[in-house]
Amino acid sequence: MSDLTVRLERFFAARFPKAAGLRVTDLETHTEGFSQETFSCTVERMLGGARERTHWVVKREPTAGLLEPYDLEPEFRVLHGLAGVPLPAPATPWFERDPAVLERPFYVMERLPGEVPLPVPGPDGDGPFTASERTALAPQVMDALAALHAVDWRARGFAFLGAPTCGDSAAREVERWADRLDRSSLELAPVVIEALVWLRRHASDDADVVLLHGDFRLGNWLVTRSGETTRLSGVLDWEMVHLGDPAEDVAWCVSHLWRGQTPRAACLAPPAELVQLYERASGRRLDPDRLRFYEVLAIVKMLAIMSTGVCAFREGRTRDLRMALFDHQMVMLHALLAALRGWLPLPP
Amino acid sequence: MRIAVERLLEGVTQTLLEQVLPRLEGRAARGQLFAAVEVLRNLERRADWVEAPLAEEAASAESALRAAAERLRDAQDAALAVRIEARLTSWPSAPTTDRVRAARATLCDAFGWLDEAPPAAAAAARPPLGAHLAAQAVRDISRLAPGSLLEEVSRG
Repeated sequence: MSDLTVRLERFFAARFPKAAGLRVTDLETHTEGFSQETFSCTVERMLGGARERTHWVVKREPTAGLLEPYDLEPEFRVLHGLAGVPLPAPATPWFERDPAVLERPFYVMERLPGEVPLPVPGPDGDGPFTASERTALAPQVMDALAALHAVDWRARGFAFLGAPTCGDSAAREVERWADRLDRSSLELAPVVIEALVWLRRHASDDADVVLLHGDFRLGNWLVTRSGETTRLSGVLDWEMVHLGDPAEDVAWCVSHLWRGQTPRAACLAPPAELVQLYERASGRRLDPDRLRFYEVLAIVKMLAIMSTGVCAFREGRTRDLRMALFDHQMVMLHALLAALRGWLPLPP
Repeated sequence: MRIAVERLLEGVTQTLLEQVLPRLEGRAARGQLFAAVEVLRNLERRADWVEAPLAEEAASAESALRAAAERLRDAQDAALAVRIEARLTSWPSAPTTDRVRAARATLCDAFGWLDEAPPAAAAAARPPLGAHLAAQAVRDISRLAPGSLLEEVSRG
């Protein structure tokens, strides 16, 4: 039995003091993510004479990663506080900061059913979904996003995330990501500086401040397929949760970054159609200029995340070769940024 | 050395894809392997990267900045034109890495200066700089191995 299994058994036993014969099984380490460490496991325990099996996911702070420095507590508090909201977010009962338990802070959430389709071309070059799956999923994801944006964050006690003041959501996000780029200590390409100058000039005031997922996109959605039914069963990876302009989440979701070489945003529908679905679900009109602003910011944000990875690799804090590869991928993002700024034709 | 570097890299890549990949079942391990292959496929081109492409980038930036300065002068903003031209004269002629670093820094500063300039003058001066950014992005992409495996890597 691994040390991790023993530690987790001790942790779960303390959470289920009345359970007898508690065992942790099926422990798996998921390293496909680029950021937090993720483990899944099953907890077996005797309850009322029957053996009960529940499935859990443990998210632990990594030693190095794309969103360092890490603090898992805000996302835990949001996920925990979203209990009861009609959103496919995992129930997240526990957060543990004591290093004696798993060495680094972690939280535990229920494992939701489904698989994570990725924004890559399938064998027919048409993304991960069939036409009928796209038709079923597109409204569901935008309904989920609208439901998230409708959450009364003040009433749920999420003001600790830091509400933008005086309508400065846009400017605050630009500075957040510019600062992250600076901290990576990589030389910034002129195309990035040009975009930052433009973003700072065009960051306009806003009235609407909502709870944003921050990374709402294909790749962070769990989908179940059963016969003719395709269902969005989970929204994962809440580490970039914050308060801000709803257009930011929409622009990130429809960004060219997640189109998997298809003409469809999130491999689901033409971008305008997905935006329309959101508008219908939320009752909110999105200004196209504002969306364009956040689409440019989305690329800057991705470049900042990649820069952190490249930096971690360069400094020997990670051996994950995928971080080294970002060095090449950033070149593609520079071209996309040039296109969104109007210097190159936009890809379809 | 009997094996040329390009052949060596090609051979390692082939071996990884043909001999190792089919025996790997874990998604994480496959992700690492695809990443390794992509790094190897680009290594030779990165070695080529040293001089000529940097000189090309510096030359392209210089001509874009000169064109922008000329347009600023036409748009009655001679002061900013002089400022840009003065920076151009301060670039080191060698080594190329320093020259291209100076070119990038001047471009970055120029975007900031234009943001503060009268809108009409700035609008006149931006297109040559934007054209340089576009051309540079295309040049950079052309130096990556074609048929990228990046999408495979994102499978994890």
